[in-house]
Amino acid sequence: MKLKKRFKSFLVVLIGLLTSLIWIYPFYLVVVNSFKTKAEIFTNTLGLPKKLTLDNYPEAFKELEFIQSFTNSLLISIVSIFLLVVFSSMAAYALSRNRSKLSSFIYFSFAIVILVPFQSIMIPLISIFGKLDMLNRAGLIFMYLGLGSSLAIVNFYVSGVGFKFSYIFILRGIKEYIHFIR
Amino acid sequence: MKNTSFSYWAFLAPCLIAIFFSLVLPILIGVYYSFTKYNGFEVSEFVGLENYKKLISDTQFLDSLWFTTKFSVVSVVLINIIGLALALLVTQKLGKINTIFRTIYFMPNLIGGIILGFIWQFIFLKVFKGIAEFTGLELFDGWLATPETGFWGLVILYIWQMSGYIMVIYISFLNNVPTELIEAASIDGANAWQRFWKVKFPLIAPAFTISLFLTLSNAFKIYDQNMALTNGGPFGKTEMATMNIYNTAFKVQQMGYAQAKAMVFLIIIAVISAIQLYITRKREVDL
Repeated sequence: MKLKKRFKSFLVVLIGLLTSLIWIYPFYLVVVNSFKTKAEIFTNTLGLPKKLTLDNYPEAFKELEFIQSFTNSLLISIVSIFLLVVFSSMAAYALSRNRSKLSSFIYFSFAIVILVPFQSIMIPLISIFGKLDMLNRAGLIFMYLGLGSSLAIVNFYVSGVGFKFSYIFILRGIKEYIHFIR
Repeated sequence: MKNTSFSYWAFLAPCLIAIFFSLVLPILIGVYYSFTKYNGFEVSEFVGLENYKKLISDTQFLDSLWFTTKFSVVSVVLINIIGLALALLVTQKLGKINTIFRTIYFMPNLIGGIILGFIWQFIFLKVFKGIAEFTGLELFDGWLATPETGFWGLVILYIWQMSGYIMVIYISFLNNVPTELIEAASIDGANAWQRFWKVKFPLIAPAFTISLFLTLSNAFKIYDQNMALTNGGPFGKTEMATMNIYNTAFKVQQMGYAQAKAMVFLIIIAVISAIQLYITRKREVDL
């Protein structure tokens, strides 16, 4: 009996290890190939680099204007996450302390706007913020607050799932918008 | 807190204002744009339902909608099965290695869609080709060159990205299943298979509602992955609805027409999600 149980957990770990390998393999490829020369990527894609080269990094650094774009991403992410957490938890608090018909209407409206695909608001969004001269960092942070708060509020509100979980949602939201500004 | 109290509205105000300006107002203006000819700078004329009439016969748009639907159905089913399987795996009592597994499965989610798309493009084009040459299997040759491989490429990429995320939802529900029930079942002689289907599965029904809702609406809305992996190729055969709308707006500069498409797309997503919520909610009550 004990042996059987041991064998079972061994099997589970084995399956876990194999799937983890599949999951992690793409990351391995990216890291390994970033140290190869262009020619070697074509001839030797899967293996470890024969000759380690670091030339790719400075080039990417220069081409992406890395410092500039990274500062932008970092600044915008930090400020919007902070505002999002503060304001959406405030709103969720107000809604959960006041369980009236009005509150549930507001909550439902928050929940339903999660569905709106970005493409449906993209064109008017640009024209509105363009007219207000807000197509800059401040405008972007404001947009994130608007686009991200519905999901964040719902997650703060359904706290049965836990607060830790809400942060995952928020982080995910922010990450998506960073791509938008590029 | 009362409805009429100052603090109630003060707490809600920042989010309400932000949502109004970045979601509600754009949708309302969007409805207006969809009835006009708009080039991004000025509305040249009001055309009524012209845009909507045009999109009914726009085969490229209809194809992209169909492609998106196919993609969403296949990937939602697979993501939920794999996500649940991963969740079951890491909730076994294995000790510390569980945390490592969890982190690894969740990792793809921390990277944005564009980068994931490029990683997998590299894999499909270079690595799969290498495998094809090495093993001589035709299965691995010419990926992303045909609509079918483009489709499955997108599905694989999206499964890899999302199942870890869905896993987290299932884990939180699986952990909430009372241990007494599982112990009681095993004392009654239920094996692991029965314990899962008869005890855990019905108890995590709410998790299906949430996971299906999230995966379904997200699968319909993906853009980055599509753009980075196939960019609609070959010949626009793997173009998704979002990409079609984006291209109509910014490549062809027909903003009014693009907005009409976007409105139709919004309605489709809303209807599908409403149906899904209705069905899964009903199941929850039944149990």
